[in-house]
Amino acid sequence: MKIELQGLTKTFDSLRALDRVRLEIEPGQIVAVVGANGAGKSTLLRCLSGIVGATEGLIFFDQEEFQRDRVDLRRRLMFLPDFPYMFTEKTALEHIGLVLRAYEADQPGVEERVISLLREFDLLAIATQPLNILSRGQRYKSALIALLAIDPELWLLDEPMASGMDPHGINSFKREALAAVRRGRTIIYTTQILELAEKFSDRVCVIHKGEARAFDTASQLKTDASGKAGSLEAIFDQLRGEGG
Amino acid sequence: MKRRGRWLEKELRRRVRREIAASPDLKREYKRVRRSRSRAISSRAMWMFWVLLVLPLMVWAILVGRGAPSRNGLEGFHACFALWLTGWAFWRVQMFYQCYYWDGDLWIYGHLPVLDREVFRLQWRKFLRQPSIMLVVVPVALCVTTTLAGGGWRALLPALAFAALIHAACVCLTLFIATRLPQVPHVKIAFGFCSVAAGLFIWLVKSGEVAAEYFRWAYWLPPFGWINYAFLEGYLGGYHLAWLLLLPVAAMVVGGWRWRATLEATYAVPGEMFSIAPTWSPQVTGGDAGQLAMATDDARAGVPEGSQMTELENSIRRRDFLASMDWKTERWFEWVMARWLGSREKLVASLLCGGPPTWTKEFVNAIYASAVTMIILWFLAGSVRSLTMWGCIFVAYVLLPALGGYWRGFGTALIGSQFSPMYAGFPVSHGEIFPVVFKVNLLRSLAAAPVLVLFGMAIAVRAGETIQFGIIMALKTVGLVIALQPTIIATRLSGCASGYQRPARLWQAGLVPLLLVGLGAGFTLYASQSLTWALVSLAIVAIIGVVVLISCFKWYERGWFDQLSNKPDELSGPG
Repeated sequence: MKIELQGLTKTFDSLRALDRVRLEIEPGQIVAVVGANGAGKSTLLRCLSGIVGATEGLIFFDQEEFQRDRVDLRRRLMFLPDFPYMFTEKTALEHIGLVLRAYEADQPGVEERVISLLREFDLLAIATQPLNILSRGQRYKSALIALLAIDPELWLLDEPMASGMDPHGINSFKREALAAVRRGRTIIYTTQILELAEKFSDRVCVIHKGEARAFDTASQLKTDASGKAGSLEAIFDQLRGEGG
Repeated sequence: MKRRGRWLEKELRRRVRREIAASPDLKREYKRVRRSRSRAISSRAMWMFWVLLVLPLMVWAILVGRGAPSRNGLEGFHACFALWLTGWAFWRVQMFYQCYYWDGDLWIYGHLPVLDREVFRLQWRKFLRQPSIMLVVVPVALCVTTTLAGGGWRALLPALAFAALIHAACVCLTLFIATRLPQVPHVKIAFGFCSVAAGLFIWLVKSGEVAAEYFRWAYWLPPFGWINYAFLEGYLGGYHLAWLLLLPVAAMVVGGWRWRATLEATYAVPGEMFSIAPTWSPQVTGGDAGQLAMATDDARAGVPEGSQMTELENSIRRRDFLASMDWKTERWFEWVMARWLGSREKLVASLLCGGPPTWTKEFVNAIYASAVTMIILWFLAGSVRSLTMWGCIFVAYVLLPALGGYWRGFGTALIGSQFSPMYAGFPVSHGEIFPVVFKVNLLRSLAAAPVLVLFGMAIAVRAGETIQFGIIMALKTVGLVIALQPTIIATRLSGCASGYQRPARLWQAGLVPLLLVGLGAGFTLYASQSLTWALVSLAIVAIIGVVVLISCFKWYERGWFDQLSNKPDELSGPG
């Protein structure tokens, strides 16, 4: 799915959480969104998912304008916050079933995919346990499995690497994400871990005070900043400094 | 331990301001991120606004509707008021419970070197500090009713004091039955309140005229005011109502026993370790155990092994996990709705219910609750002639849980540092939600109509009115409930998001005139004997609802409010 943001602005009272953000994201890419706390990373994902409405500007998915009540477009994307939406008295398996139904992605054959994902994420043994007795990481994995089974065109993940998943879970997620990108899926995730953003992304978007300060490959960002900075951390600091 | 070091806070604030003032960059950033606080209307303020507006109008409507100020009209008002106060007393007990076992502060104290007795003390203070809407409602109700009924203001203060003392004693005694916590001498405190109340009582009795004024209304003020009424009736004209005493006693015993059982189940750590109560999790939605609940060893309990695992895989292959959303249509309400709603609507309904709906069960429970209410009101109707209308409204309120039913999907979940309605996590639109909720509530209202009509007939006869009058009152109430649905749904949609906050000025500007027109229409509906006026009134209420609903949709489409709010809706409430 191609994503285009045209002057996306979001204000909360006097605070400009997003300030005229212009981005074009081609399909089949992993985009890491980095930025300081309160920079607007989560707001960007929430705008893209429709939970938050843009104050100004437009969002286009495959040249179609995204409006929040467009269920057909919303069904093509899935947003996974750091604490996913869950009816916690349900079991992990029931949650997955509910999400599959909600996305109308319960086509024949999905059950095999669910079994293989449960196995891959070490969740098969506890799949029939209620979510409210599972750990945070296990809950996140349950929500992630639902996303992977649905396989939407656009994945929006808020801090997936700081969601309580164990290293095996994180590796499995990366593997699945890379495979999805090869199928043409677009993945946008936020992170505070710059090494991860550098290694696990096609593009890095640096957001600072609501503005998209840079959007390029990690290597290109470093090349552009040659002479001034050598690592993504230094570029990040430099961009912050420019903004004051 | 002190929760706040005011001197330190002041000093830190001063230093921070000085730093900001000295740096242009920091000053710029401070201005950028500063948010105004005054624009948001808190749910508590809205609640208070409604109460302040509705209470005098209720009294006015009774008086005007019956032709002249009458003792009967005010008695009816006080009867409903006393029932409401009863609910309030139980709600305060629930608040106490929350302070000690479910409060978010306990989580913080659990990570601080704070003694448990300190935690108890701090939570006790917090409980006492919780603002009480009663401080507004009781005086307003008393002022209006005593003035309209010709009672002097001198009756007001002793009545208020008496009501407050009896309320406090009731809460203490209920707490004693429910918790028996050793830290609070509930019985001694209750005894103290009762002693003062008794002193006041003796003084009033001895003071002649004031006492006479006072006794005209004061017996309605304690939570179980209708028991006092029954006593008075029994004392004055017979003992047939005295058996009503059994109801609150039974309610307290059953309630106390249930709370005690819940306490034992949830408060597993023996002794006084409040700060590390192991089952704590933020009470985000009513039935939701919270997004942050700690992992326990239970997660490992009941884990299937070997052959069980194979069975589980086979179950998944049979797609049993997808069937968990299927409706159980052997019950009548679900059966009817399954035939009325389309497949997509059924899916939306399941998402809003958090699984297969259990509407029949909810409806049957509501019937039980309304039966108790009807019995109480039926007995009261013997001497309260105009109770029919208020009785119908009250029963409708009980019968159709809060006039709109219970929907899990409108509850909130913690997303980052804010709260978002559960339905926002799924690809459903407001345009899909409205027809589903409307259809379900329409059927709920129609199903409740025969019960209401029967009640209206019975209570009308009991109150000396005609059967026709009772039927008309009941049907008007059903009509009003249906006409109000667009407003109720719009309020739900915007209430669990930031609908009250972002377009606050618009709400404020638009809501009050609409509300006044709506209330006028509601009053005309009940006061007028003409069918035409009744229909016109209903149409006005419905049109206002549609206007509110369309505005809500438009504001949402334009991004004027988000599916995010700063507070979980379930935590706010009266009291």
